[in-house]
Amino acid sequence: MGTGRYTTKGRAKRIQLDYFKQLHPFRRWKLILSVAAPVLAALVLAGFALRGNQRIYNSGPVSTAHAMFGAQCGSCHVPTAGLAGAGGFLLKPSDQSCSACHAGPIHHENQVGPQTCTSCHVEHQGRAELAALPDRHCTRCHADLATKDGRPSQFATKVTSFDRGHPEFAVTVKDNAQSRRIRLDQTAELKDTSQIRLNHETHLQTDLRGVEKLPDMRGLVRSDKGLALGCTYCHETDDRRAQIKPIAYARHCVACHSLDFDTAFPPVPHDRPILVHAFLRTTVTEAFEKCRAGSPGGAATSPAARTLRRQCAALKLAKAEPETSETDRPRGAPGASATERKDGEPAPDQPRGRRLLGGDEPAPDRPRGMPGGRAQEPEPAGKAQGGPPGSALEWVAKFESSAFKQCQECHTMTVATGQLPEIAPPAIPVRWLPHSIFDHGVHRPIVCTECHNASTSKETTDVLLPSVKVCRECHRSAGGARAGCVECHLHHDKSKERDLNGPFTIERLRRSGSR
Amino acid sequence: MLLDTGQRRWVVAFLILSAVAALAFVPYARTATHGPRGGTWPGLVYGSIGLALILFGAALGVRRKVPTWRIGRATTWMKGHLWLGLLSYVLILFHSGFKLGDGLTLVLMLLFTVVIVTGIYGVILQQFLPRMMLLRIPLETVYEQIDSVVAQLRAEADGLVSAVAGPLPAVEERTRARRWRDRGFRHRATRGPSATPPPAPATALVPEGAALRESYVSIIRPYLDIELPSDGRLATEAGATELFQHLRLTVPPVLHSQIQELEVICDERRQLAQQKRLHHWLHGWLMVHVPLSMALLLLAIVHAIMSIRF
Repeated sequence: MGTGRYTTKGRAKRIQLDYFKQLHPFRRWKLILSVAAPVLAALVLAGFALRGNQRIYNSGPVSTAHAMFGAQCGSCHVPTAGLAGAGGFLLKPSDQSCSACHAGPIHHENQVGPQTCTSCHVEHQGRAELAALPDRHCTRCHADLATKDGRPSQFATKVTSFDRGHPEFAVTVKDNAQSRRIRLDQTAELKDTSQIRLNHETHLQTDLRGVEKLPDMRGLVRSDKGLALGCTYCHETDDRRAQIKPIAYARHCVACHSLDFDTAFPPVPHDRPILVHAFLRTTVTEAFEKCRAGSPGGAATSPAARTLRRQCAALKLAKAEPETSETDRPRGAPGASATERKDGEPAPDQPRGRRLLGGDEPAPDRPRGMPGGRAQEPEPAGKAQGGPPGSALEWVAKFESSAFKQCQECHTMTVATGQLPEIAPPAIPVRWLPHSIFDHGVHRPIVCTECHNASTSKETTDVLLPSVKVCRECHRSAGGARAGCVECHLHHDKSKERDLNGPFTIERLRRSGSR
Repeated sequence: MLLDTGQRRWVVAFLILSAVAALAFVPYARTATHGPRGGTWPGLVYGSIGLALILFGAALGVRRKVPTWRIGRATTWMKGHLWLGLLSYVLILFHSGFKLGDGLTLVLMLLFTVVIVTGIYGVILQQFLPRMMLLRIPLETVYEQIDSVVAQLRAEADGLVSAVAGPLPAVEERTRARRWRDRGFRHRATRGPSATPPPAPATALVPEGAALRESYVSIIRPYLDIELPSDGRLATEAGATELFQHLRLTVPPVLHSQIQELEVICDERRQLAQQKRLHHWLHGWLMVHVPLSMALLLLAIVHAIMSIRF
């Protein structure tokens, strides 16, 4: 409709001939915006530059640990030797920048080739932890491990991932003073040489003697069969719940395995044989002396008097009578007054070792009370065991024999004539797998015996560490728990980390990071 | 630009180059120790080529400013702008390792994405809107002259009606052009001799012309304003037919020829309004595409310099 109103000439006449010389608002606004947008962008960049903030040039957020350096590229990017000719324009991150705070100890003395910090730790990757590196950082070397000196490496040389090439775990086995690394699958040579005798199976049975008297229920397991020790009764974690703390006799064993040598005397200390010997000698001779000095025949009223009476009865120097009176206390016994002591008798608050009977000093080359020692020299006839004692040392020897027998329940001992027994020092490793880290707290949903086969372990030499196959049940590359190298291994030796007392001031960090 | 068979070679080239870039990216991404990043050598190669293509795409604007330059046909430049610009986005994705980054790189990726999306949107619109305009708007005129032609149509209609119904009341010019002029912008819609009403034909006043005059002043004349009324009954062809049919019934036959003319004028006005609307669809994306491209160009150069420095 209407197309016939105008001729072509008529329609052309309606168009102003110079319309293109001036911009239509549509084109004008396009031009204005096309200028304004880059100008605005330039102003924003200029604003950042005027404030000295270079954060906008970060290709990605710096890691959380380095957030205080995020606004000043120059904190890490410095002119390097090879780029000095560029007039200081080209800046690269250098190891010197990192070493201001990190020592970055070398991974292994025999590793091939130096590595810069940034060859592994790449910044501007977001808030990720810089040490959480993918496996390819490790397998660059460990997939075909070479050594600087060319000698074969003691470590597995073809490890490409936890699934492929990772060797079986290894523990240190000491054999004839020689330490060897034995893998868990070398069953013929694998044994626990920690010198402590323990039957795990027995300790996990229900209703063990004394278990009902344990001070608290932590680590105990109550079931239909009764009360039993749980793994965590003895194997406690540290405060971070990551590592297992060493077993301590005083905390984990004493409740059931008290070192009583006689009910009349306190238990011997859990210590070296020489100290056990000293304790026995002091305790027994002190009681012997008191029993000889005074006759505890009357009724004992105080606990100390009753204790002394029992001790005297054990030494067959007094009859065991239930009651004693205050006046019947032996002189010198605990609770006796100073005026009751004989002249020259040491005060009870003196060290017990000083209160030994005179004339029975041991030979300097052997401990007293031991076979061959002076205290064990033949006593007069008629004063052997069973009859009234002839000397305190006779009783010390008797009790010592009983006490040291108890040590053998757990400790490996060597007994030589005329010597105190020699106890092999316990060598339970604090870290069984020192080349790795393991967090028990993270694995707390899992029953301990799933990994540590303790419930059927009877032999002391059993190594109860889980095989690498057990770990692979959950930790696998495809669809399992994380199986990266850094989950278990640290690259740098943290014990060689630099000292505290860094080079920065708070003001400098504030200027660098908080803009 | 219409995507036709003439661009087959460009499409094939784009696909081949993209495939080559992707094939090179796969082993690079699998073996790169820290993953694909802009700072690695392959990443820098991707980035450099991508930036070069961005610069080429931006050169289209310069090429258009000087159409007389003998440096290739305008259509070839447009095809290059289209397909090489698209290829540059692919390369920049490989350059960034498919990460948005932070700070400037984040802004760049967002800007580039918006630029590419608006460009693709524009290309899609170019495929059917021009044809739609050709079919629906036979009276299409130069876009910049639409307001001017509308002013001429109104002057023509004023002359028709005043000739048979007497002088028309002066109306307040309520056009957008007036508002722009008040704000200091010059507008050409009401300038020029064309806006002057043509001399009224020597026709005697018709006594029954009052009805026509009233309808013209209240309904038809506002529709012939540069800024269309929001409640225009004439905005649709059906509404216009109904209105003019009603007018023919209320005025004597002697005025039917004027009504016929007014109907034709309103039809042309409707076409021009539609042309304006379609033009805004067809070219409105440029209001985003071009300014952001300029900002992208500046920031990309800054990014390249600062990346080389650090």
